[in-house]
Amino acid sequence: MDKLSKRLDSDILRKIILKAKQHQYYVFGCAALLLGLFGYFMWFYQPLKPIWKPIGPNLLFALRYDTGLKDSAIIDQIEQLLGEDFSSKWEDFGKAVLKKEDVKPQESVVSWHTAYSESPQVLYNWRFNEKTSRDVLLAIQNQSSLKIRQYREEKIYQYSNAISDFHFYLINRVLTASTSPLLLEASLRVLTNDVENVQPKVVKQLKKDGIGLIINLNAIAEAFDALVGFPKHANSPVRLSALNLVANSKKIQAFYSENTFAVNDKSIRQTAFTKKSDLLYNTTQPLEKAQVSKETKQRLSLLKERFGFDVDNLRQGLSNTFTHFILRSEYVLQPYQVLAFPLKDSSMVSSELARLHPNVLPNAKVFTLIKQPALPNLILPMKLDAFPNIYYLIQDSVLWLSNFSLPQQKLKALKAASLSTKGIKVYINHALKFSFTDKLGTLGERFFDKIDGAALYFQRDSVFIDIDLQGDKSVFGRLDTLLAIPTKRQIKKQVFPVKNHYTNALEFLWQDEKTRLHLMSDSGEFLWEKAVWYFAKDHIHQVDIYNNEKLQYAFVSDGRIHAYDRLGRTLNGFPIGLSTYFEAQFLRPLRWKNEKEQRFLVAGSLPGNAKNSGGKLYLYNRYGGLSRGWAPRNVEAPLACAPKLISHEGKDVILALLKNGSFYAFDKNGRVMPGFPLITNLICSSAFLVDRARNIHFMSEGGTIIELDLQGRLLKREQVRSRITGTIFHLLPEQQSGADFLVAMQQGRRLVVKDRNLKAYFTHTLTSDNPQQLAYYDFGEDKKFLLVFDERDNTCRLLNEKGKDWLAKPLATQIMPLLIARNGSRIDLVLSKDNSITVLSNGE
Amino acid sequence: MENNTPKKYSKVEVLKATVDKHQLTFKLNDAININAEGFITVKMQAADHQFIIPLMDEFGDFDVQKPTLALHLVLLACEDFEEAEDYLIWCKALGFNASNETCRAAWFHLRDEVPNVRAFFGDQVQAVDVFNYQMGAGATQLLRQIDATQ
Repeated sequence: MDKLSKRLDSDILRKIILKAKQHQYYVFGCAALLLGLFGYFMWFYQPLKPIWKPIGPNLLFALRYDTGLKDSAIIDQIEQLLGEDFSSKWEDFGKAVLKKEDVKPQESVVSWHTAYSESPQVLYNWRFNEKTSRDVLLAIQNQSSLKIRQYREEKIYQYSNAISDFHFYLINRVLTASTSPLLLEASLRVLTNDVENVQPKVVKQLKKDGIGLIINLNAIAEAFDALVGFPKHANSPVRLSALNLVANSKKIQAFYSENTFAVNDKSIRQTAFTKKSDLLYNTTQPLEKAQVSKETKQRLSLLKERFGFDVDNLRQGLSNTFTHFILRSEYVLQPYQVLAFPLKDSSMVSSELARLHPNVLPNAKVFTLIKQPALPNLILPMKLDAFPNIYYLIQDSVLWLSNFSLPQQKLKALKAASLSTKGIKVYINHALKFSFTDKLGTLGERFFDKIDGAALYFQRDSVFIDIDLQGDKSVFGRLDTLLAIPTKRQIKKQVFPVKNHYTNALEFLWQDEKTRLHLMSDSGEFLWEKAVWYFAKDHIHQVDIYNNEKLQYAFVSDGRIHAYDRLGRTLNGFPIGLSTYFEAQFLRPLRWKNEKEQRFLVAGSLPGNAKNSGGKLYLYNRYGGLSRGWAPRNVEAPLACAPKLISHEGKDVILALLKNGSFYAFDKNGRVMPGFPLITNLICSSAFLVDRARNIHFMSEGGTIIELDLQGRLLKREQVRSRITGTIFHLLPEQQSGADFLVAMQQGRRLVVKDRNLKAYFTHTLTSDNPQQLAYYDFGEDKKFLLVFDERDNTCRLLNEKGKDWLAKPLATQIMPLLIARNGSRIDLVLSKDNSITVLSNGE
Repeated sequence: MENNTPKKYSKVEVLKATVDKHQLTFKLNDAININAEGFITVKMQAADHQFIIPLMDEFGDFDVQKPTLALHLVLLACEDFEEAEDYLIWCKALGFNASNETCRAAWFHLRDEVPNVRAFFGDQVQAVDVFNYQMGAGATQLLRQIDATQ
């Protein structure tokens, strides 16, 4: 029987298929019609996007108007617009604050902000489709507990719950609600005209007299920011595009993606659906307070000890529900800290660590506990030193250091975010949970106002904060210790940056107090040291003596010219003995144009009393003989600074400034060039500079600035005015190019800095009235620094272009530090303290 | 003796002839005043030209009544300037302090004026040899007397 029925079925099916094949066009037509009907049905009943126009706690509304209108006229029109009903609420209105801002050249906005209120008044709009709006209306009308009143021919419903009253009205499929009847009525006045065309962000403007109502989302964002300290991050993909503030339930929610709202007809309850990964702050499902582990307790006590951050008290004030924890950047340094150091030779560091810590495995794949501070060539930030344990891990040529045990899965997340940089990444353990409640307003003032740039992101059950310490220019810069290498003896004078001619890498050369010359690589490796027995009188220069693109180091001591190769070997023919009746002061290696021979111009003074001691200039060739064509030149006074060689109109010109203020230009045969000398009879002791226009600038000790050209013509003679006697004047050439300069005056503790046109640049108050050494660095826009070194106090500070301290506190150093710009925006500071050479970097 | 004079001290004769030809008169001038012993500034007036030359008169020979000798001193100052390679050497040769602004002014003045003097007198008119002048030899004696005797 079954078989028979199956056969019949298959026969029928076969016949139908056969028929369909014969009438295939009709079949396809019917199918298309059915699909079209289904599509139309879906389109008609499609879920609508919400209209979403919240008004922040401070912003009532904003009116946009043409700038052609007078303010009084606008206020009249506002009153007209708001109507007489508004005057009954004048008390509330009187608290409002009027703000005016120009939006476009032809338009301005007047915004009304209420005074700060503990219970923010918010306006909501929901849009429904046809059917749902009918259901909602039916549900509203059936609610016996609702009070109804009439306003502008519309019914306003009042729903009272235990906390407050909720007012709403439904018109043209848009449900508008607020706890504030005032806001609701104001919105009703402007929204009822054309509700259908209401845009999500900007309400359509009224045509009447060019005045319209807009909702200022930015102002709301700012209000939210002020309330809860919303972290800003310039590079973050997370942008606050929408806000939903629920104040009465003591929750603050912020969403950045599109939200879908639904209304339950039994009780007006709002539910938010959103992707968790898109969520910035989430309190819809508050996590319960977790058990505090011993480790957490230890960290919390450290927080309290160091920063006065009493977490227990905070918890009590936050109703025991904690979701997330945000720390201000200066508090974020500890207790959770992970440092990532890119390694040039990871195997070396790994083996070195293994040597220092034989109990740990060199190739561990998890964080291994070691005792600090036995880390090779790595000095951790000072604050971390207090932590008893350090966890380390070497993976993919990156040394990770953590002061707590970091699970492997967390490390992956951190690596993704921080491999490209060496900044501090903060990992927030989910064991610490905080919530945003109404207390956050106060908290914001205390803790969140100085977040200088942060991105918060979620991953599974954890929250990460990526602190950008350079995010805000007003915040102090931060230099982390890259290297701190002990030196056997104290560094004499300064550290010279030199170039490795093989790799073009930067190296550091210096002389110690026992005249030994030291060369150190960029990574902190001592390459050699050499006993020299003489102190360098001037800079140590790099020269290509053999003209083979290999560089040697040359300097002048009292009576000799020294030259050493890159491996510290003395060059043949060196040291060159200088004339006996001569005190060398400056060395200027030079090479005439179109000549290969390296020459050394040595400037110094002739022994004698102060009145008659003159200066002398010798030119030596690399074989130790006096250079042909240049007879040793006597000048009437010792040189104030090292002479310079420039090329002018195809000719080599040597420029020299004497201590008596005379300025000379010599040709390559040592002859005084026409137009020179320029005699100023000023006492000079600082360097001169040649700007891009080939004009020469120098400054006397008394503050007279001289500008002359290469024809010896005096272009400018200007006295920098100072009301205080004993002012120390500085002309500060830019250290990179040397073409620009600043003028600085130290008057006791007051440091006045002016630009080259003597226009005030900034004034800074020093911590002491000791004479300061200054150096001006210009590494580009927003990266101009004035390095201030106090030789007596052995401290240095960095001032930015506004004269503010770029570093939070002065750095200890025994030598004038060296500032170096690296690739990108990275800046290194080389200094010496406690018999060690230290390299600090902002690590960008 | 008198017959031999033109042959023996021809330079002096040329100087004398030049003075006569251009009717040169000399006066002291204080346009450039270096505070150094023997330094004077002389204004040389020709028929239609005038020159101001700072010069060293170390023997105090200058006398407005002795124009030939004065011309010799002017030409000697020109030679000093021309022989000095630069300012520093000129200062050293004359014993000046190079940082003295007036010395620099004198040097710069000579730099402009010496070519004019040379162009005015030509190459034939030359000062008596420095060595002879320093030693006070016969040419110098003639130079000192030639304006008085005629």
